[in-house]
Amino acid sequence: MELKEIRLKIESVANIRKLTGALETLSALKMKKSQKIALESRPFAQRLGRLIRRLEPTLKDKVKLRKRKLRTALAVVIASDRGFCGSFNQNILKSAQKEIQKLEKKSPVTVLPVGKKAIAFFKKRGRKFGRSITGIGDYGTLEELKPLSDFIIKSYIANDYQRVYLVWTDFVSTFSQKPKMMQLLPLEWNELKEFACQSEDVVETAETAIEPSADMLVKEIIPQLAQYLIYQCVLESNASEHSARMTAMRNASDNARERVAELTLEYNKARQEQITKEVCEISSAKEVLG
Amino acid sequence: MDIEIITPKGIEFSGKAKRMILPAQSGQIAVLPDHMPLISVLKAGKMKITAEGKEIEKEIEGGVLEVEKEKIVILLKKF
Repeated sequence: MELKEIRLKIESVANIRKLTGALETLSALKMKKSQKIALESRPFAQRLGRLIRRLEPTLKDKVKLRKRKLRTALAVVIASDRGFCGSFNQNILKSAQKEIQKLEKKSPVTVLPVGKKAIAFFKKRGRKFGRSITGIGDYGTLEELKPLSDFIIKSYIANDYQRVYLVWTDFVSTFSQKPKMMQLLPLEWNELKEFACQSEDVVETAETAIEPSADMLVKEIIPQLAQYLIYQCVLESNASEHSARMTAMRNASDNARERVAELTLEYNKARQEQITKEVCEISSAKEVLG
Repeated sequence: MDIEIITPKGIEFSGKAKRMILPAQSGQIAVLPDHMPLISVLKAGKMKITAEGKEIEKEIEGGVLEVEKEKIVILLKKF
């Protein structure tokens, strides 16, 4: 390689390093905040899961919506709006695709993609979807998610869908995130185990009074429970996204740094070679003249 | 009795209490130690807890009260 060429390459790699370095710092901040939010609301969500477990005997008889025949299912897939986060979107979307194919054996499935990356993925695969959601910020809030959860609950009650599944990325740690799926509606404890597995065991108490009435409880609480479960899943996904981005950017920066070192070595070698050549030329020319 | 107040922002309160009065759908209910297991929907209103050494009085927006043998959990939208 020419000296100039190498120098240009070093410059461009150094520029990339600056960029990924900046993104790394930025997403490290976002990661911290989104992790904090997700972890803080976990006890609440787990407690809700536990509540459903206690209510299970009541729900079994009371919820007529459960008994509807399955015609169409809705799969809500939560990915991100932005890329640059390593294999985060790939992981969740591939696993969603697999799960949806499984679900399709039982009934037609409508997809509701959340995030631009999810929309692009399902469009590419020729899947039709009526509604999609984008613009959920870096840290999902209940207000932001209201259109999503309202739509899910309304169309479920309106009998457009008899089952609603949620595919999201569970935040395990900064270096590990796991795609997961659960049945959101009808709310059934068996289906929530995956979600609330950390919650303490329920002591089976025979008689639990329900105030004011079981019907009221179902009407009042189930939509709220669903809403909060969606909220928690989005928070987990957000924390996972930022963590994945931070890790990806750190790797990219490390690689760029390594590449700069390699290229500098190459540059020095090439330079040395050129000098040697020049010295050779001068001394041989001198010999000829001499 | 042990009580815990949990919101989406985390565990807001955890400790012992002697008595509490909460706004249920059908009116205010008081919960004393050894209350029977109960799940109740709370509406917006005033919540009053006599905890050890202090009184907590707060307007709440609604939530769920869960009474179990050992523990009472109040899930609130906001605290």
